[in-house]
Amino acid sequence: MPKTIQALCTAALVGFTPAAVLADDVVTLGLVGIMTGPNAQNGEFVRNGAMLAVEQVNAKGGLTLPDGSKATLALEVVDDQGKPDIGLNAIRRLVSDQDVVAFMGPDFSGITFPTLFAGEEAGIAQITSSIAAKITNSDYEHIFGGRSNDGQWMRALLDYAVGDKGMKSVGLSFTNIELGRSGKDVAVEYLKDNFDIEPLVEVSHSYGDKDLTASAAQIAQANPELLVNWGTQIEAALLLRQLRGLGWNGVFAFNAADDIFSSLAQGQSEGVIGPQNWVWTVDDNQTQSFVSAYKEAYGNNPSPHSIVYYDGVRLLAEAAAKGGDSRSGILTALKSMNAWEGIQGDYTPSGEGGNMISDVVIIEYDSDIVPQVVGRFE
Amino acid sequence: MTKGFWLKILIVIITVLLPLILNGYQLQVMVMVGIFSILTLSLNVISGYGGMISLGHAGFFLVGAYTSAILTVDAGVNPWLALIAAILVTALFGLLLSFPALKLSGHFLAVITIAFGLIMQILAINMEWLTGGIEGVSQIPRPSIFGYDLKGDNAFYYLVAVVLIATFWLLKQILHSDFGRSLRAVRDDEVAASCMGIDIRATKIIAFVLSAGVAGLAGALYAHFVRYLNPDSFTLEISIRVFLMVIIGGIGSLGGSILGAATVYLLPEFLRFLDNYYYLAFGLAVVLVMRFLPGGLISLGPILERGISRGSTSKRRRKDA
Amino acid sequence: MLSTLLFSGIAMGCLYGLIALGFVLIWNTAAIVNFAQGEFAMVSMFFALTGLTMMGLPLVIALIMGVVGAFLLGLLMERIAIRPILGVDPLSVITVTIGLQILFSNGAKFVWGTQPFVFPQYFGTAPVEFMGLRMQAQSLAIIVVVAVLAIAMHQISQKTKFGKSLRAVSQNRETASLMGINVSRTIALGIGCATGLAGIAGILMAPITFVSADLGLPLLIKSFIAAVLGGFGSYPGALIGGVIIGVLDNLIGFYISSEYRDVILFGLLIIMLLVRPSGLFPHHR
Repeated sequence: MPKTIQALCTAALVGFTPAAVLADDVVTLGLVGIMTGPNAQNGEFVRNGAMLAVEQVNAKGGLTLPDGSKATLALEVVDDQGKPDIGLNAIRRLVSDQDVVAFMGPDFSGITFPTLFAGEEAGIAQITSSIAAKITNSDYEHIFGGRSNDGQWMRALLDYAVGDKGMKSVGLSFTNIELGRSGKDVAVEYLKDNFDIEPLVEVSHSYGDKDLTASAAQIAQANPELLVNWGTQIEAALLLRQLRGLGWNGVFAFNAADDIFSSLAQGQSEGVIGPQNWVWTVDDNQTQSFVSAYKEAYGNNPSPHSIVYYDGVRLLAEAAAKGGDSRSGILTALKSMNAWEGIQGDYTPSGEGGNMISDVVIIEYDSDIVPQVVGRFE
Repeated sequence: MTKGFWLKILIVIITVLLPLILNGYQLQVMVMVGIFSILTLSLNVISGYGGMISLGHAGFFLVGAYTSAILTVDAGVNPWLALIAAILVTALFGLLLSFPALKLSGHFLAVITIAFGLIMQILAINMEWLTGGIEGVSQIPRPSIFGYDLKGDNAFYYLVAVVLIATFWLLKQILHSDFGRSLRAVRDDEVAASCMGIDIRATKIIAFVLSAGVAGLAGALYAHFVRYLNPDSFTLEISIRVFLMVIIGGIGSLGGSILGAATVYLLPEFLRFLDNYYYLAFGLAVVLVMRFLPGGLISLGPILERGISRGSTSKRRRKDA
Repeated sequence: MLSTLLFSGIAMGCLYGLIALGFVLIWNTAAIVNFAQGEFAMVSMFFALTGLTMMGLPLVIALIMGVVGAFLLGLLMERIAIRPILGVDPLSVITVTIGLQILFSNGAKFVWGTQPFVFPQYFGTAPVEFMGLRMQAQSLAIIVVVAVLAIAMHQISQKTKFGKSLRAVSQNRETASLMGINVSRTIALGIGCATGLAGIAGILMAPITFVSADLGLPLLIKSFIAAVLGGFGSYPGALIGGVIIGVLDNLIGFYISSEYRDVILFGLLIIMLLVRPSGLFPHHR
């Protein structure tokens, strides 16, 4: 309950401030994420990351526009509930608000991809944490990938597990969503071309499925050394639990092995590996100061999603500072930036298709269920 | 001039003027109310007038929507033709579903309709080569009239309003004809109906085909309005919601269906200030309405009428509802 | 693998059957289709979880709390929402219970949030050997508990005054009342027992799946189908129907297709109903 009250307050503070008071001193960024529903924790991490950046920018006096005036950053948050049609509605509401000059999100590739046309038609810059490669490979002019795409992730993961660690037999399972299917396709191809391995088993499950016994049984029977599961956290945790219950002892690799996953999988998270763009245990100064600021503001560690939106806000603020607080201004500014340093790594906003960043870290959960960085790929 | 005549004029005037009063988002909501009214009318045919419980109408809605969407997006068919195709294809599914309805009734039929709705949704999710899977079909075009593209929501609103009125009128004629009487007879007492010489099988089959066709029409309109479809819009919850619209509006009343659709669809909008908890209030509202108005909202009309005429001092003959 | 799948299928099926039993009990006693039946399983899980985590109660007490909670909630539902509409036309009644289903599932979201929770295992996650077959400890526990419950319920129905009142009320309310049975109290207790049964299913299910507020509707559908399969009115039918569904779920998913599992299952159901329109054990009221 407190979380929703917090959300209500944030929305109230940001959404209901009378326009007359703020006038043209405000640059409004939009944010669409999963604020309610079973994956609302995701949205919480997303929103908090963005809010932290907004607060920090405003604490320093706001951002400076090209004409020298100062502007406060504001965030307009809309909920996509993890559903594409609701997401489309939410994005439409966002872009129809002329005050919104750029927006971020959604997180689910399955929502981002089909709704890209809405942002494109409005000529508004969009930074997303979605990782499906299709998003940046489809000729949309306004989209920017806030983290590496899943093709890069999958290849890095396989390089680590099969290449470095020498695992020989691989099983594939995926959530039957765009993200899952595209990841599986990349895996099959990469395994064949680089390691001459064919997966022992390929199973899928539906998003929202509560009973994964059949999939788990198929995997356990094939008994691969490594299982690469590509999809969403709740189903992954459920699958892992059922696999262990069936006596399977292999290595579980998962693309979204974050705190949401580990809070569900609990003790069984130990030994789980996965690719990420960033994790809170990365030990450089910038990361650690971000982590402590986040922890102080919100009480827990940031997830790999938080950093995308934190960096995203700061990137957009810089674009506004360069190109002015209009949609076309920000979009043009972004397209002309060749290098920008964020906490996740180095971004190239002008990159083709909107691919900005390609850093990948491989994490492994230790016995304290803390994700340790065990490999880095660029 | 009867009272009903002035009421109808009033409704027409309000309908025509609505786009001028409402803002963009509100108008979109009203279009959805119109589409769901058509869907509710379709369910009323078999559940209200026919007494056959169907909790799977989202399945027909899905078939209509996807047929029209796939034809226009993948095959480049003209939206109007696709709409007609959608009606026909959905009617075909109605024909299919009518066969179990001939053999089963009550809860057994209810389960089959639930299964139908769920099957359609699962097929839509898994047959990606046809339906785009869970990501669905996007960039569905709007239809155009004589070259004039109905891209604007205003124009589409009028289209839906016209279709709704036409559907309402058509169903009214059909349900007040011999067929309608047969249908109600079958609902009230199948044995007695067959004794009177009514062809039960034909009646039920026609009812299902008609209902499905209208639902398919609603689906096609939906697809071209929102321009993006995915299986999540056709869940069991939607079937349940349409069922609630029929009951709350008043079974066996066409006007009630529109009222019910409007209420059930608009209530969450008015309760939006409750944020995510509006569904809670919605559930409560459903329970309360059924508790105190078992005849549905349309029964409010006669109750109000009686209240008003009781209030007036002159002696007037009470009109029967 | 087959034996594991069979046993976990039977176990899950017993749970569906238990909920279906409650469903049929309410139908027989009060002529009401309780669309909210699945919610009671969900609610009992949450009550137990709250007892465990927030109140720090020992496991067994928390589990009892869950079941008792479901029982009491059922009584409350009967008193407030069902009793006033008994005898009103069935369509309105089913609508009220649909409203209740929406109310309960969203109420749960309101109280406990939308995130799924982990319920502690009763016996650990390692598989056990029983009679030479490998299975999950939880599956074994479920089968044993439900078997014991079934026998106990049969005894209660045949031997106790309450059981006999229930049967009398199911057969003919007027006659039962003429015989001196307090009909409304019997119905109320009957409904409470039915929701309590769903509650037991809930706490047995909790360690297998994640606890979340949206579990109710899918459970209702499965148990509705189980009840119909069993003949809609027959108690053994409901249990057997549930087990069939549980087993088929696993076997179809494993041997045929995990994506189209539900489609095939529903398809089989439709075919079966067309062949035997009154279910497996036709029950005439």
